[in-house]
This record gives sequence, C-alpha cells and structure tokens, in this order.
Amino acid sequence: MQQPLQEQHTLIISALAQGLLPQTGSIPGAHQLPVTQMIADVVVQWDSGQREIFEQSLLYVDGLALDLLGARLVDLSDDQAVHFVSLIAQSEELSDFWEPMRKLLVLNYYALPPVYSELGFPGPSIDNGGLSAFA
Amino acid sequence: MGFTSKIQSHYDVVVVGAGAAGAAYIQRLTESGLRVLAIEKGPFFKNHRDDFIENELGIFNHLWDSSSYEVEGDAFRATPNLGRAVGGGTLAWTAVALRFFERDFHFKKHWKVPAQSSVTNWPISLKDLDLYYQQAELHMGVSGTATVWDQPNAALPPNPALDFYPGSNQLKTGFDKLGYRWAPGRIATNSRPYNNASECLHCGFCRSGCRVDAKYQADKVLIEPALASGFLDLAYECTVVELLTSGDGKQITALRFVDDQSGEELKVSAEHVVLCNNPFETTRLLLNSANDAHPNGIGNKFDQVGRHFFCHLGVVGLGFTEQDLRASTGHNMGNIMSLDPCNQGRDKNYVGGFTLLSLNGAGAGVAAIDPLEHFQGPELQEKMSRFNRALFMVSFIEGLPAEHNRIRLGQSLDSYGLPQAKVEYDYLENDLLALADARQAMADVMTEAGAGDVHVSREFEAHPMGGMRMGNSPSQSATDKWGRVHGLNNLWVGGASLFVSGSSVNPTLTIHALALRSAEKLAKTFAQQKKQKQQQKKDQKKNKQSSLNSERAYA
Repeated sequence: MQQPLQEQHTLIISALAQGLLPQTGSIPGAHQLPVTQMIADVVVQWDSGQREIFEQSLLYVDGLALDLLGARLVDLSDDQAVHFVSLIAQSEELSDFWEPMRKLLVLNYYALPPVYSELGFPGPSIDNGGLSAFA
Repeated sequence: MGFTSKIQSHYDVVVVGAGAAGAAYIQRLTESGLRVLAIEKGPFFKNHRDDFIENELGIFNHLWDSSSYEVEGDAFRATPNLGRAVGGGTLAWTAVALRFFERDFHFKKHWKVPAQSSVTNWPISLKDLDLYYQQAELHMGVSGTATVWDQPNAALPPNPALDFYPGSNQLKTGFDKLGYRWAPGRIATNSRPYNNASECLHCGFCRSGCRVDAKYQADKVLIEPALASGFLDLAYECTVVELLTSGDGKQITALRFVDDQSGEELKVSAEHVVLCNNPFETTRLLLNSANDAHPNGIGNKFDQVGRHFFCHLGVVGLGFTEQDLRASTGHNMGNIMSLDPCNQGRDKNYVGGFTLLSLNGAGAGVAAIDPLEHFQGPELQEKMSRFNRALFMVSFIEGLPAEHNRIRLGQSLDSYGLPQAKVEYDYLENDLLALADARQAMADVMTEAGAGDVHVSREFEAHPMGGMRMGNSPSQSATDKWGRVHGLNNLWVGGASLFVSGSSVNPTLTIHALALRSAEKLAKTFAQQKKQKQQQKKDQKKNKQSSLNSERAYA
C-alpha cells in the first residue's frame, strides 16, 4: 500500500500553491481549496524513485526560502510566497522540479468549480441539453 | 482483466491495441468474416454518458503515461496525448480529421531534404489512400465543406461544416489581413445527428471524452458493432509481453499476454498478428521479443526498428481582446483553420510548414501551462480572469525524421521486468526554423484579429510518428507498403509508427485510412492462404485415394 505524503511535504506544496495561485478578488486561492490533496493523491501513484526526488526537491525549496527570505515556506506571508514563487520560476536549476509542479498546481486548480465558475466557465452542461456557443 | 467472451487458443488475427488504428483494422477484418482477438492495455468505457466527466481533468482517465520512458536529447517532454483505453486516442482527441496533401507522400520531389533528416518518399501516394480516406470520413462522420486545399474532385465529408464560434469570426479578420485563406475545420464531430449519435452540444470537453458520442470515438463506432457481430473477442486491461516466432523467424506463431489485475499469463496463437500500439510501445514489444531467429529484436535485421522517429512540434497561443468571445465553450479544435502555411517553407529558409487552428472549450489548464507559462501569482490570475475574451489557437509544425532520432530499450524495467522504452530525440535545425515561423505567424494572426496582449507558448512535442516506417527497402524501412514487417509473413503494423513523413496536419484520419487499406490486404491474403490450404488438403486427399486405388489394383 502506498504511504501518504508526510505533513511537512503537503505544507510545502500548499505554500507553493499560495504563491502561484493566490486569492484574487472573489477567486479563492489554491491553498484554500483541496489542490494540495489532489496533488498528494497523484504523487502517491508515482514509483518510489520519482517520489523520492520530488520529496527531496520540496525540502530543498523549503530550505531555499529560509536562505533567501529568512523563513520556512509555511511561515511566509502572502506577498512573500508570491515573491518566492516568482524567484523559483526563473531558476533554470529548479526547472525539473518546478515545471511539473506548476503543471500539477494549475491543472488541478482551474478544474475546480469554485475557480472556473468565477472565470465564467459554464461547467458541465450535457445533462441540461448542452450549450449554444454562437454569437 | 476484462473479457467480452471466452478467449480461444487460436484466432485468425490478433490485434494488439484497440485504438485509432486497431479499431479500423478490427472493423475491416471482422466485416470480412475473420475471427479476431483484440488485446488492449487500457480499460473499456462501456457507458460514455456516465463514465466520462465534463471536467478538464477527465482526459487523464484515458491517457497513456509516457513519463516512465528514459529520455536522451532535449525534444521529448512526455507531453503527447496518446490513448490508453478501448478506443485509444480517439477518446481524448480533438477530432481534427484532415487528409495529407499529395506532396506529403512525395517529399523528396517537392522539397530539398535537409542534411540532418532521413525523410524520404512514401511507398504509396495520395491516390492509394483516397478511397480509404472517404471511408474513414464516413466512419467518423466528419463535418466540413469544400476547401481550396482539397484535391480536385475530392469527395465532400458526410456532414456540413460546424458553424463558426465568435472567436472564429474574429480570427477570419486576422487571416484575411495577412492573406491566409481560411475555412471551417474538417472535424470528426457531428454537425447534425449522424449514425444514431447526437450533434455536438458545444459543452467544451472533447478532450475528456464526449458523453453524447457527437465526436468520433472508435470504441462506439467500430468496436461495439464488431463485438455484436460475434467475430471479435476483446481482452482489456492486459499487457502483451512477448511475440513468439517459428524457428526460421518468418512467422509469428503466438503471443504471451498478462492479465494486469490477476497476473495470470495467457498464450494465444494466430494466423496473423497486427501491432497497433503507439510508436514507443510497438518498437518496445518487437525489441523485447528478441530470440535466436531475431537476435536484435523481431524484424530488426537491418537496425530499422525504432529509427526515423519524429513528432509534430506544437505551440499554443492566447491573445486577449475586449470582446466576450465565450472561448470556454465549443468543440475544442479547428472550428476555423488555415492550411496555407502547411507549404509556407517554400517561400522561406526551411522545408515543410505548419497549420493554424482555433481552439475553444475548457482549456484553462492548457492556457495556464503553455502560453501563460511565464506568469505566476496575481499576474497569472488576472490574465486567466480574461480567458473568455481570448482568442485561443494551436499550430502543429511539421517535424522531420532523422536516423539518429529513435526508440530503443532503456535500462529501467516495467512491472513485468521488461525494459522500458528509451526515447532519443533532438529537434533538427529545420524543425526549429519552422517553429519560429509558426510562432510569429500565430502572433501576427491574433494581433491582426484584434488581440492586444498576445502570448505564444514554447514548443511541445505532439503526435509521435515513425519508428516502423513504410518503404520498399528493408535496409531503409521497417515495414513494406502495406505495413507488413520486412522479413515476416504474418506480422503487420498499424498506427503513426508507419509514417515516413508527417505533414503538419493532425494524423488520425491518415492512421485510420492506412489501417483500412492494410486490413483489406490482410483479409485478401488470409482468404488466398485459406484457399491454398483447402486445395492442399484436397490434393492430399486425392493423392491418398489414388495411392490406395493403386495399392488395391496391385493387390
């Protein structure tokens, strides 16, 4: 049986989610939605090698936050989390970690009804006869 | 594992992979009265309305996971949307159903081949596929109208074009200003009820599987009728682990496959075997089946299996306007298209070209991943909040095959202890020149269409092709002009691995047409072999009788 991610890892994912996809107006932030759990559910399916690298990378970026901003990721303010994400997004060294991480975060986040409905997406419609998409 | 009926020990044909190519093979073979077993790695979604979900994440329920492959080179990022289900990629596809151009089959005649590329001419022409393209369009219920890019007198698709969405009307302006001709896309999505399936309801979730089968999905259109005919047995959630050959290596005699759930191993023999896996897995199965007769992998005497691999390079663009274009609704790709740039390299410093196609529907994740890749935080959120006002486009750029771009066996093992595929893939200089031109053209079209804030993504690899390319020479190709593996009498291949070049149009219609053509050849070959066997039996009986008569007369 696959072991769930440890809390130290999920908290780091949540902090990265907050920095990448913060609350904006009426759109909730990724850390306020079950995005972290959705990612954790994906990660437990990975093979042990892939998972180990991912977990080590999470701890590495957490340490990086301490080095750069003087606080662990979980202790960063909203603005600091946004700033930190903008820094790691530009790092070539971290691209093997950040590219798939960002992909997981945005795919899961924008697929959630509280988010896409705020963007004006109609959501499921077939059971109500579908949509008219013509002007 | 799932079985639709009791598995027999011997079949006329075993088809490995029940996707876009496999389904076309299955349709044609069962229609010809052959007993077929299809073996599929993925699940069988029998009730599309309940099994599919209208959510952007729904696509992941039927995608092949390419992330376990070893990679060498910069071009492969494991992004192709390959299928893993009965119906294969047709569950996840965006249903763009375009024919290749005549020039695609005669590449060397039309273009000067770049030094790095191994691209050559196909062993067939467009004329050889014309009838099968028509049949494929009928199976798929393609919607569309006559276009300036059609061959003279080409048959029209069976359904009228889908109406333009607001964004398409806007893109027309951009195309017009830049001198690109445009037309409604050829889409395998019903513009009106067709073959007992609904017309498109514009929900926006094609890629997650169409709940009302308005989009062509091969399991519903071809596989279910084949099952109903009684000529098809289907084993799903199974993995084929080995092909076995005769001692002289000229025949496949049997296959070993495993029930992924229980681990039970089965063995089945067949007169003919057809491999319709994706290009990575067809190659992997052949290389993993090496034996004394084929020490370098089945059909690999000349080291051609896995070579000449290539992809389309894809880019996605997003251009924000002031109008509500309802970008989040509608069928997903090609509501409007321009195929003029497919030949654009002719006027530039590269060979080949690219398509320009509109995108619609539930693509928030795609937009955030690709064209908005460089935005984070509030800036990303602000742009995404304007998604419905955006023009959304995709371009597929013709990549070229190279001898050194190939699929091999890697060091890592799968759950059955078999080596995984290793993808060795770098873009060629020509690929990158065409890519740069496509990115600029897309940005120009959106800008001229009225978008003020335009973002075009970097490239991703799409539509993997090659590895088992067709050709007349066994030293330059892996299969003959029918897709039969060189050096073996009864092993056939279907799918994009056969492609010699890839055009810049989406490949599925060509995959389907090629499979119909090859299946027809296989059925004829089978009938001839059966007749010969019957004649041999008659002759043997006759000889036996006449020798008995002689013995009696002598006595």
